Amino acid sequence: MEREFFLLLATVATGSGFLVVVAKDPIHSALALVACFVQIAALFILLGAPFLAVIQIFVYVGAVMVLFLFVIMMLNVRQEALTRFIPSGAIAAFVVTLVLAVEMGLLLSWSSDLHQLMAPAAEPPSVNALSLALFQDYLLPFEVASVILLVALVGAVILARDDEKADASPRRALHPAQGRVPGRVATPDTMPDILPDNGPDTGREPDNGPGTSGGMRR
Amino acid sequence: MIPLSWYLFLAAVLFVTGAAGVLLRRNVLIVLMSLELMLNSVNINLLAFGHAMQDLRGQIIAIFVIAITAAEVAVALGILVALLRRKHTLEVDDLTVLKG
Amino acid sequence: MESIIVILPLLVKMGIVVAVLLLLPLPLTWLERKIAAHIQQRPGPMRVGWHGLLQPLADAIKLLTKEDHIPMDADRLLFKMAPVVALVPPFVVFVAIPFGEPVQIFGSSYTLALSDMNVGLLFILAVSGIGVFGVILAGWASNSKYAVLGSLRSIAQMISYEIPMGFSVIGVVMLAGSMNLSDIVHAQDGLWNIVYQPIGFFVFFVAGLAEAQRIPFDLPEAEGDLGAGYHTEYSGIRFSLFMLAEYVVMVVLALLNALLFFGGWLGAPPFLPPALWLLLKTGFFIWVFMWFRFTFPRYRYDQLMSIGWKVLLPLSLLNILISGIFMF
Repeated sequence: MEREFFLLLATVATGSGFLVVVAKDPIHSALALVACFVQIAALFILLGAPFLAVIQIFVYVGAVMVLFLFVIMMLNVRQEALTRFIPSGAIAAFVVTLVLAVEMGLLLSWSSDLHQLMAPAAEPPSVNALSLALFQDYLLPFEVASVILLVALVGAVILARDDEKADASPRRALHPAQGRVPGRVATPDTMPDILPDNGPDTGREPDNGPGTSGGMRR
Repeated sequence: MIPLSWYLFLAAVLFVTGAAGVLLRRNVLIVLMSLELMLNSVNINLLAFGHAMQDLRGQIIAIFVIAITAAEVAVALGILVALLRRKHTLEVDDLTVLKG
Repeated sequence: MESIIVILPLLVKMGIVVAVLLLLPLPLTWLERKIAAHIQQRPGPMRVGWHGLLQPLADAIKLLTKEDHIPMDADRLLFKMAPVVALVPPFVVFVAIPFGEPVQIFGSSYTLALSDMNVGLLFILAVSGIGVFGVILAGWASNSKYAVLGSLRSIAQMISYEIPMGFSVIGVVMLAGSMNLSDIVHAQDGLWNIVYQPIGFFVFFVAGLAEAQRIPFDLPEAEGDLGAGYHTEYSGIRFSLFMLAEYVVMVVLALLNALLFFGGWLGAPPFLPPALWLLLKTGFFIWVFMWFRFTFPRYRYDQLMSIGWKVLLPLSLLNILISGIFMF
């Protein structure tokens, strides 16, 4: 049964990976990537790493891809103006990628050791064993990784913060003349204040807009 | 059961697909997503070897790769949002602010 | 041939779970309307069937016969996909939930869980996080300002409250020494976890309310205030799929509250079979959710976000600290 599962998962992963690179709309690309990540998580279970599989879903699908989709929705740019592939140097890039693919394929098939059958795990390592190894032998990398995550968190907040409160023009993600997709009405440039505390009167309690109970006092 | 080389082939295919995406696509967000694909293929490799050699280190390094990737994506998207606020374009050819 | 013998019980269990979950929202909608009515001192649905028992059926017929309308210039594929993507994760969560002790049928013992995995609790939290995608797709594909606004708020709310929800169960995992839900229930053999983890229960309960987008946290889909949020443009059967997903999420949260903090299926055994204890506790939590809906007003969006980040998250961290100190 494992071979059938692996072939199914590998096929869907390859197909959705291909879709990521080829799709015109970034949202379709992001959704194909989500599908690919879910296949890879299932593959991790086949590889005897259920904890990694769940972490993959938690972090990649649940957090990273949501972040990507958020940013794609916020930075929506007119799709028709954007050709998919870069115009200059595309041929050279394609040739290089092809050479890489052929090289990797040949190296993998020529190596004699790699065709050994994988020993079916007597007992996949428990989460207990994994956590012991992580917190005893690899404690320093763990702490360093948490500091990196903290720095990334602070950095992302500072980078994405808007310092143009003094600007005369209302804060818009894209210039309206450049950004409007024909027919697409709900884009960030037509809705300048997406979140309530980014408007010009932050802190003042809105008295009759969305977010209140329509004027009724509690 | 399943030969190790099958997993490595799959990882190689995903890696090459991601590399093609990084080199060929014009939309910078899709370039970032293809980068994610490449990092995931690396994870498959790590876990495949860890499983074949019954070594826990494959899983541990994969955990660190996932954590660092998440941090990298956060910062990359923060930089993108800050950059695009002024440039108003998502095409890689036009993002030449650092060009000397 | 022998793989069929292995797979058959699994298929039967899957069939039972899916069938029950698809039919469960029907009595739950009736219950919600009746509870609303009696809290507001009015009778509620009384005409369709005895005391309105056939009202959900009438609602279902109405929804299924409505015109299927897709907004102009909407992304058609994503618009059609969104209700399905919203519906699947709550069902997948049931893979890891055990409903009782292993039962003996014809001599061989079957576990009452689709898959009693060792990372069960983490799996449930992770798959609940996938539920965000239905909201994203619904809002974006509708190509409507109310929908996009509502969906962005919904997403921000859901991902913000996933964190205290995850942290609050760490205390439970510490007490049980395992993430396997059956082990967690068995570890409550002496005293239920609510005694050892009152803060954890409070944070998990409130964060669960926010995840399920029930009052007092349902501003993103508040019908009066924001034009129904992310499912503004949906009608008929697509809308009913969203409602179905919402009720299944509520059932999941009630089950988790019962399993993690209230002893699961443990109770005085001679009185009732274990699965029935679990059913009673889950029913209690569903009743509490519905009771809250018609008693509390809803929080404003900035209040909602500040509660998640500034109150629940520090509380859950405090809970981990206190649990660690006590266990040491």
